[in-house]
This record gives sequence, C-alpha cells and structure tokens, in this order.
Amino acid sequence: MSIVLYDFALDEGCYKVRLMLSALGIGYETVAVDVSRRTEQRTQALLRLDPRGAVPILVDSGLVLREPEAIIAYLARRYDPMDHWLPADDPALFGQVMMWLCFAADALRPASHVRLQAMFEIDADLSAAKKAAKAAFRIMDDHMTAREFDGGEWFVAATPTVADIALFPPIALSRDVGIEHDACPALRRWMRRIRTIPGFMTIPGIPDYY
Amino acid sequence: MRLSLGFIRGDQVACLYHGWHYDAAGQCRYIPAHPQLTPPETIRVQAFETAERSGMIWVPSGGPGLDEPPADRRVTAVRSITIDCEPGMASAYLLAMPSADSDGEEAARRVSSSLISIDRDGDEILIGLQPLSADACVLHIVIAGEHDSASRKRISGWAQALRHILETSAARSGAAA
Repeated sequence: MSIVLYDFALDEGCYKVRLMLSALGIGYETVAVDVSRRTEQRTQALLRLDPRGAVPILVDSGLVLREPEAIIAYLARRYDPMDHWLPADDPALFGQVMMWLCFAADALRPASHVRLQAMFEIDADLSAAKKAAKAAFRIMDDHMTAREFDGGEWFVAATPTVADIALFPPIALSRDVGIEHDACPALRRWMRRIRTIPGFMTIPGIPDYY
Repeated sequence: MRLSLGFIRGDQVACLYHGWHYDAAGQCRYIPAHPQLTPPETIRVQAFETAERSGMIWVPSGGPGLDEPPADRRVTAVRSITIDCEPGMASAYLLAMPSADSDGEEAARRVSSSLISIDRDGDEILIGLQPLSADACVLHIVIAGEHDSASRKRISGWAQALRHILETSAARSGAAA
C-alpha cells in the first residue's frame, strides 16, 4: 500500500485531505505542486492525473482520485473500519453528510476562490464572492446554533464526520480575505472542537494557539 | 493586531502576535522573548469597565445618555445574531412589537438604552442591541426565566426570521436611496 498526495501547502482542498489522512493515522508521501506557478503544474505527468491540472490529487495503489470532498469520503470508507467518519450504514446520517459535502464543494467554493485570489494578488473584484462566502458561513452558523440546542457538537453525527473536515478550512481561513468570525459564534465553538480531533494540524492562516 | 485574536492563559490574555500577556487591568505582565524582564508599567492597554447582567456583558460605549447596566435577572441564553441593517431600524422595529407586561396592547418596553423587552407567545424576550457600524448590529437574545431547548430553538428561529425581515427592508431602503 502506498498513498501519494499531490499537494499545495496553502490550498484549502489539500489541507482537507491532509487533515483526513492525519485523523485516520495514515502514512503518505506528498508531491509538492505550486499552483501559483501556472507552467509547473501543467506538466504532462500531472495533466495525465488531472486534466485540469488542479490539486489535490490522491493516488492510492493505482487508484487516482480528484476533488477534495470525494477524496476524504474515499479515505473514510476505505480506512475507517468503524464507519464513524462516513456513517454509510445509516441512510439518514449518510444523506446529511453528503448534503454538507456538496455544500462544501458548491456554496463554499467562492470562499476558497476569493482567498487564493487575495493571496496571489490576482486583480479581480472580490466583493461578490466575499458576499457569497459570508452567506454560506451564516447558513453553517445557523445550523450549528440549532445543533447545539440539542447538545450536538458536530455538523451531522455524535462524532466528527467527513462533513466537519470539508467545512472547516474555508471558515477557519476566512480571515485571510478579511471575513472575521465575530458573526459566527456557534462556528467559533465548533472550530475549537475541531482542534481537539486527534491528529489535527494547522496551516498558515490558522493560529497554533487559541 | 487585535487582542481579541489572542488567547487566554490563566487570568491573562495573550496577544497572538508575540505572546505578550496582559492582566485584567491592562498591564503587560509577561514578554515571552524576554522571560526575565518585568514589563515596565508603560506597557499597558486600555481596560474597560464591564458588568455581567442577564447573561450579557455590558461595556460603557462612551456615548451620550448612557445609563447603568440593567438589573440582573435569571435568563436562558438563546443566541447572538448579527444583522446587516441600521441599528436604529432594528430598535424601531423591535419597539413596535408587543410588550411582555401588557396583554399585547402596549408596545415593547425599553428597559435601558440598549436593552429591549418584548412579548413572544407569553415568553418575555430580552434583547441587547449592540451597534456594530452604520449598517450592522448584533442582537444578544435571552428569554427571562428557565426554558428548555425547544423554547431556545423556537426563539432562535424567530430571530432568523426577524433578521430576514430587517435585511430585506434594509436592502429595499438602500436601493431606494
């Protein structure tokens, strides 16, 4: 068994995959890809793995997977014998996990794009994407506010799932584009819980101390 | 670097940037890069007088007409909800709602300059109104007395509907202006 992650250290999607690998205690190798340099990432070898030349890409014993939400769902299904991270046998829980994974891939993409654009100083009007990101964070905060009234600590289940992993980086890194966390008190509490997951690690933009 | 981004260590707040520790009076007590040094008294941040009442922390805003924090009551916390509308519009809307100490005939009561009491299906809801800017405010919402999670959830849902109404009319008046 050998797992290789094509990785860009500052990318949120890659961070999701590293968080999942670390929480599952899986060893892996990384191939560093700098997406800020347009030429390097579009080498033929990389384009064979992902026609878009994007990261993360996970290669596990010949299987090639793209899209961070799909990768972490695969890792949970493949390497978590308890099915805690992806409750596949409970259709209701499974459906809710998938719903939040889709939310992470759809509603939270503006948050990821706006951050990369701000980081690489790409000249663009970011106000619409920032507004969309704030609206998505609000939906998450309303959800966790309601969950907490019933004693819920995680987005879907009694223990963290891949949904929590997929939703964490965009809000945790939102200060990079000037979106503070003051308006999301329930998410602030949830983000502190995320930090207690064994194997949790930070990336630039997420403080080591809290 | 705002101290609110820092972290609490014991009874001191530590700045995220270089880890300088400050005590409750605002005096710097510890500089990690110079652990032997007793920080001079001149290294000090502004401290604010605070009071904890009815589940909320009250700070003098320095504005005119500020009164004492309201009396402390037994309450059940609901949530703090941020609303993108003019603070004056939020208080005007809330003050037009029924009050708790009438049978729905009288308008809501202003308990203090920034605390409003309203009646909602027989529950008394206390709302601390915190202006953030010219077009945003936070409503700190509690229910008087002891309540279960069903009540908290119901009032939280009501607050979300209220947010929607206020932001929709704020957008309308913004577009009209």
